Amino acid sequence: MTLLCFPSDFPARRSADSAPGLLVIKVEVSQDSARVVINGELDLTTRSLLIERLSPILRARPRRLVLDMAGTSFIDCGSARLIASAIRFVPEDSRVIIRHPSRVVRRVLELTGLDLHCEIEGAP
Amino acid sequence: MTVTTEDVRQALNELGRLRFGEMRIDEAMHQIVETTHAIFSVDGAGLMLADGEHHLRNAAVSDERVRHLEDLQIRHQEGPCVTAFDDKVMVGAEDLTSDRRWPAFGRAAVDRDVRAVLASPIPYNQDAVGVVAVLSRERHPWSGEAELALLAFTDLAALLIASMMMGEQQTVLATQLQNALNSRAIIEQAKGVLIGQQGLSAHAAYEQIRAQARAERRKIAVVSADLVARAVREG
Repeated sequence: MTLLCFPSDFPARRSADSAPGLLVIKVEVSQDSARVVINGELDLTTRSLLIERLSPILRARPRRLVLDMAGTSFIDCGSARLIASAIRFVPEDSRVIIRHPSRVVRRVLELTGLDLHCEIEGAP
Repeated sequence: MTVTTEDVRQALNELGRLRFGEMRIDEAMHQIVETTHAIFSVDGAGLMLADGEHHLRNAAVSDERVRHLEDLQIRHQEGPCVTAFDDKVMVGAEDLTSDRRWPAFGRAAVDRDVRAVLASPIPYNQDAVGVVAVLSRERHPWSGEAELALLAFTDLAALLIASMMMGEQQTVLATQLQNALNSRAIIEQAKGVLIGQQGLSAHAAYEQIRAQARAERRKIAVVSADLVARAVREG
């Protein structure tokens, strides 16, 4: 996996002028599979939230992980890298599926090399 | 020696083959630190987490020198890891003999064979809870690739820590970190009080609280709680 993007840092808090509630991440973990639905924008300000939401995957070690990104309007390279890191914790023979990434999101996934480790479904 | 993207990729793939999910958290952290040390070809790597006193404590180290780093930063209340943790940015010091940002710490560190440090804050809960750091006994310029590599290891550490904090297992580390988060909350409130009352910057407010705690030999969280309580009483 290549790591081409470089986020300079992460901000501590969501700044006052960014609308809260812009991002909703839902995680459903069942016996053998996990599904993460990401609606909104992923950037430096949401890094902490993304970490918390992805962390149950480490314990669950699902055989099948679905990332539903149909509602993901933006993703920065740091967030893509973080998702790639989370995928390292699932068993080697797990299936990781990214559903419906937009063109912009898909481009970032390609840049970070994340697409090489996942199946991408329903790309535009 | 420079860190290449290919080195990082390989190292991360090897880490990925470990069964992280089945390991104890401290073992997993130790693996991350060992791999970080190896990939950087430096003289030490460490993972530090804050405690209730706002001090960075070693959770996993690959070399004795990292213990020096912990001691010296606590003693002098400054250093690259402290700055990275407080300001939540990656901090690099390529040569502590000439770096003026942490004069007392710098001199003491060079005496103990620590000359260059790169520290990356670990994000959790909209804040920083610790740092991942590498150090060298020689002068060492940190490249963009090195920073990027350290970020990749920081991501793994952050995910592990979040998983630990959200898990049910009550480990010593989890308890330490929960204390740190609780005290951090009250310290932040006290900073807010001073900023409002005296128009200080966030950094100056924290320095003032810390100085008071040291002068009165009280815990920083206790001093902060007093400040907040007084502000509430005085409305």
